Amino acid sequence: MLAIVLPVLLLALWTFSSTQHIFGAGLLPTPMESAETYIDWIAGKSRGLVDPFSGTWARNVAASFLRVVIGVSFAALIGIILGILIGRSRAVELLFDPTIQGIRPVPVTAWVPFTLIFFGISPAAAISLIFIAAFFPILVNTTAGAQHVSVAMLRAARMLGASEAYLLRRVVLPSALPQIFTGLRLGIGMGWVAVIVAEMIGVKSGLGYILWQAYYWNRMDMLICTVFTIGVLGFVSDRIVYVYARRKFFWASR
Amino acid sequence: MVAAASATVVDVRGLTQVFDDPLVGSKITALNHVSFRVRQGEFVSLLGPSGCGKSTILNLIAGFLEPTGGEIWVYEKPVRGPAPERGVCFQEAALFPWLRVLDNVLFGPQAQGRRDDITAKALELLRRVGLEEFKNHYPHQLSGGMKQRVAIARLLMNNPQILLMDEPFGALDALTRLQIQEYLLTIHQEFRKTVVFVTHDIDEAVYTSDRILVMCARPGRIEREITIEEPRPRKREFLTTPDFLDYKRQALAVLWGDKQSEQAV
Ligand SMILES: Nc1ncnc2c1ncn2[C@@H]1O[C@H](COP(=O)(O)OP(=O)(O)OP(=O)(O)O)[C@@H](O)[C@H]1O
Ligand SMILES: [Mg+2]
Repeated sequence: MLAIVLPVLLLALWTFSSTQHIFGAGLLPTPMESAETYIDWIAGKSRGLVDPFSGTWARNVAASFLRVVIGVSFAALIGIILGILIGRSRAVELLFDPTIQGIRPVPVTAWVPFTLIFFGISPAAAISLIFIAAFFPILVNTTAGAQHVSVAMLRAARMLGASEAYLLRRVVLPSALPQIFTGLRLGIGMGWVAVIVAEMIGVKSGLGYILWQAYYWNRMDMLICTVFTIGVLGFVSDRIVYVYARRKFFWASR
Repeated sequence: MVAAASATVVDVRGLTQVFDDPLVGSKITALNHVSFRVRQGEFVSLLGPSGCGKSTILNLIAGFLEPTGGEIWVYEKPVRGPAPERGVCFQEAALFPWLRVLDNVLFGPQAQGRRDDITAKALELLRRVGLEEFKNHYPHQLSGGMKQRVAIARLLMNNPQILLMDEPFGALDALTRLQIQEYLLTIHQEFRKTVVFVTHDIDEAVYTSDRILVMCARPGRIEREITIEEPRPRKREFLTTPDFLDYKRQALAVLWGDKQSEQAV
């Protein structure tokens, strides 16, 4: 119940400031106008106007969503495998960790020019940027999870006859999974940042592209609709992972 | 392998363990020239105050640590790392919390790639420890005593020749403890397992053991060896006999002597 107090308040403030023209006439559309734009964006042609955005919602949401899924999946695949090896092997740690820690502080936006040069104006530019953004939180959390596996559990597995490879797969990985999922959630969040940045600059589809077009055509209503959509998608994708992890790792909180 | 009743199974020779802590810059001599032998089917307890090196000895026999001095031979081979022939029971059950009880018990044979009738055997062992109905539960749904019994079933699933137990029943209430001790004695008797048992509970050591190695701390060493002549199977009545008290007195004398000499220093 408390959770909806703030949204209602913000909506009231928005209605007030847009109908009273606090920011000047015609700058801020009203919630109703924005809702109409949104419906048109999804369903298309409802207002009988020629609007380049109308009916493009599904296509662009799908494009951005798919890029995040692909980019984060690659990041997870490599981040989890490498993280577990770094967490369990001193040699692998010495080999990779200094370099990784050196690259990690570079903000994801700094990679935009590189991805454009390598991949041109294409979805691959967005996916590679998402990969870079999501990789580090997943790797760091996986490493920490792998390092903190209980010694007693490792010893138990060894005396039961587990080989080192079996140990990684059936003890270290499951034991680190709750923390890996924390990394995954952070990675997905970073992935949404990266996809919007990449699409604003280097791709001709997706929500970031729409956002930039809305700005270009001075369409405040579309800006509001797009930002709202990005927020909801980010929230929903995080919730899905969070709820899944909560149900799957019920044992971890005890 | 058919061993003679008195064959040596575990041979600990001049074991010295120095823990070097480069961060703190201190060296701790946890064990100083410890030697003893355990024969086939024997139940030997290591009894001593906290910090005297009991767990260290067990971890060395288990192969979790490498000795800084001396040697450990098991079945006439030097110990090189952990192996299923030496099953270890930890103070905390150390079950895998993400696996159901049955899958915990199956972990050993699965790790060794066995695919035969392991499920039937696991269920049989769970029945033996009275937990068959709990096969689909997760460890966090069990009490401490139940977890420890699952750990024992998981251990026996591998059919280890030697059981190394580090205060396995320390966290249990007196009654549960007695029951599980009796169960352990049954296993020991029935399957002729060799047991090295770590405890700081004198009653437990006297009740269960063929031989008690009483240890003293700083540096860790074996101070006395007490042989318990009481025949097996041991009965509960043994706990209240004059013989029992006499064994207890012998052990206490060594342990108290240690305390006094410590105070004198
Ligand atoms: N990994 C380690 N690093 C440094 N010192 C250690 C380590 N393990 C044990 N020690 C030291 O070795 C000594 C013996 O420890 P150990 O755990 O074997 O004692 P214990 O007899 O099992 O005691 P308790 O009954 O409390 O379990 C202690 O002084 C301890 O500080
Ligand atoms: Mg100990």
